[in-house]
Amino acid sequence: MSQDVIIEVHDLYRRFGRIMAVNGISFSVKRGTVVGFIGANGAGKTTTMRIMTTLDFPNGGMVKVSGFDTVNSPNEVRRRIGWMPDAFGTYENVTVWEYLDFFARAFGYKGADRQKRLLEVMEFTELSPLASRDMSKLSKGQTQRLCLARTLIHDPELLILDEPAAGLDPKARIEFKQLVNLLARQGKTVFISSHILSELGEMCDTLVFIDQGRLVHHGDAQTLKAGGAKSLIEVKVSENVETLLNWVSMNPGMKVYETMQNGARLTFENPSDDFAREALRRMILDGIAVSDFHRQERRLEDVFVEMLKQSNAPATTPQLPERTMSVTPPPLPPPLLTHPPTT
Amino acid sequence: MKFSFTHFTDHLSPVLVKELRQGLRTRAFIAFFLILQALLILTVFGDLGESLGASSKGRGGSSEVFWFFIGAALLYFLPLRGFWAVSTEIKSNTLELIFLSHLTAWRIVVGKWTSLMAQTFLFVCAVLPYMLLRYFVGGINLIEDFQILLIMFLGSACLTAFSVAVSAFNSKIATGLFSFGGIILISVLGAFITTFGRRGTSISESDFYIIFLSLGSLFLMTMLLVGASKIAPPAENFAKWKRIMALLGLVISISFMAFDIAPELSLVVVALLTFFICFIALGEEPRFIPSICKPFVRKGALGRLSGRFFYPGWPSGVRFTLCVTVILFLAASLSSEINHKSIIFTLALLASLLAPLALLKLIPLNSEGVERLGYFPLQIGLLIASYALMILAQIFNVWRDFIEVIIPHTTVAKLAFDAGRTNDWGVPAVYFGFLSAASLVILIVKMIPLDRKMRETEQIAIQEIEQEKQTTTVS
Repeated sequence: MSQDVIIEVHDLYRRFGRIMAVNGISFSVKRGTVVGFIGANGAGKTTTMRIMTTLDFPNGGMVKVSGFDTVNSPNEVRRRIGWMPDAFGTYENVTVWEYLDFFARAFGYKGADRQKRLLEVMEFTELSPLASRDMSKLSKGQTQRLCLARTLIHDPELLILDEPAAGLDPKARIEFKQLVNLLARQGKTVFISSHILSELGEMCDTLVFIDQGRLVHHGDAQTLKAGGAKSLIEVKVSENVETLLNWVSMNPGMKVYETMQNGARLTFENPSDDFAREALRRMILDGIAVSDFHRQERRLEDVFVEMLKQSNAPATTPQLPERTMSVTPPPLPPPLLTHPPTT
Repeated sequence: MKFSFTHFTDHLSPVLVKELRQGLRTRAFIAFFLILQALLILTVFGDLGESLGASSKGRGGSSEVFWFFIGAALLYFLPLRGFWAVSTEIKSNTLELIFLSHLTAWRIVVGKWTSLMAQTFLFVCAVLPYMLLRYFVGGINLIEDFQILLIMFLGSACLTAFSVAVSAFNSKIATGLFSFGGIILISVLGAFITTFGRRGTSISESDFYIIFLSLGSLFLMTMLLVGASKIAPPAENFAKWKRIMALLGLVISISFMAFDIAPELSLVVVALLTFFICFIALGEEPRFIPSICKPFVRKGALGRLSGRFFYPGWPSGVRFTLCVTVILFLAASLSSEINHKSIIFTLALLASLLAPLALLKLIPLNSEGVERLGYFPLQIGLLIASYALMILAQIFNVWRDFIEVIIPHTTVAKLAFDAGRTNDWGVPAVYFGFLSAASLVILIVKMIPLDRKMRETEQIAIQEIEQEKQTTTVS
């Protein structure tokens, strides 16, 4: 395994009764990157993450963290990771300081070193004012920060965060995102799953899409989003949207991608600037009251939904046989974005 | 490390520190502590009233109440808290977070138990002033009272270990089954001890304490190991430690025989504990993880041979059970003459352990079915069925002799309690012998592919050890 690869997932399978939660996925993660792990509910994200953290074990395949097998060398793996689950319980009658103090002790910090480390972590996560508060009385956002603080106590090189922003209010979400960005700048590898895809897009260097336990896509976030930038045009009108939709239906080379309250998002078959300019000119000539016309970067949500559609299409999802160790992962779907980005 | 009073808690287990902080603040603990104090004050006043007012009527009523309250606290209420020790952590998803620190399953379980015992010790300390007050009121033997308190404290330690072990079972069915088995074990052990006490056998007070302390510690350690093994990650081999406990029990029992310290009692208690461990060993699924094999293969051929008895899983469990049965049989023959009954008992015991496992291995079930019809549910089912059949046979007075031996569990229970009524043991001996041998043959056949896989795993472990050596040499 290369030194700059921190996570190596190879042909991973996990079955729960008749349900195949993880179905032969393989990917690797480079050290120092922020990786978004995307999938619908039940796609196998949490199961994969739990195997990475040694909390579950695979039925087939393997996961290595910093070269250590998660089943064979769990203690080595645990030393290197910080795990933040999507849901965790709180203790009654335990303050924020005591909670972190317990984990610091559990990680082997003693005496003054422990106190120093606790102060550092609490300062980083802005928990110092809450030190003496009972942890069961914290808000959701504060609890998430506390959980992150616990994750950071032993200064792990890899952080695995499962839906860390779920249930947070917008302010807490922004604060949390800032913390993750800070950690990324410190050189930590962050493997993060979330349903808020726009946030993942801003934070992540790489995105891993999974669906029904299978890998759908593994690639660079910027390329993924920017790849479709020229094909999506957002048009706003100052009159009835129906007029615009009728006009689009009568003109070849373009389609309505999404209808909005005061306009629509259109896809153009020809991504060139000339085609867009000509379309705008014709719209105005045909009396459409265009108030805004601009190219739009592809949203991650769109990419995700399209990938799911392609993944579930019969042509691209061959029926896999019952799990055996020799089954190879299904072929990746064809590239979503066919047009290279133009400047 | 130099001891510093400022950071003296650094020398304690993190789990103990956390649990004490948490436990001492709970309302239930505070309320219970205060209520007990109030009740003890009342009993001391009762003592005082008795000694002042009615000396002619004699003492005893308030003393019984005094010990009832302490007994209820130490042997019931305080051990009861152990049932939530690990289960609450599992349910609230916090146990996994602890696992990802440097704490092992063993340290977590022991930390929980120690914390509960520390709180129990606090209760015991709070009781001491009342004992002294009663002494000054008069009419009691303080040394005797201290002895009773000590025995209760030690009993509380064992029961707390049992409840902590039960709390590690995540499934309600498993908890129920383990509790059922554990309660039977505790009841049988208690019954044996009281029976021996009542009979007025030649057990001296010192011998009683030796037996109580050694076998109690064995029980306690076994329970904590069972609890730790339930929550441990698959790469940790707790089967080894549980089986070592069984062997340690055998050594203790043989030592007692050699020094003539209640040989029969110790043998029966150790046999029960040992077969409880064998019972658990036979219900384990084998795990083929190189890191489990590493400590064994490092010790060469002898280590690999010992691995055949100490790897987790039923194949090594079958070998271990056979080995333990032979040792126990030989130990029993040392203490008394080998008679037909002891041979029957050994064969019936072996059949009761192996036959259900062989039956289970013969049934072609998918993994879900196997999970549902596991070794433990099958054993408990057979036990219940055998007793139900026996009761029916007694009610209708038909096939009594036949039903008593058809399921070996009934014979084992009857002979263990020295209550076998069948005079002709010839036919059952052949039957149990055949059942044991047939089960063994089936299990050996089923073991062959698993043993092959284990040898492959050992080879991987050897390769990994070689790689580690090379890496160390290079670095």
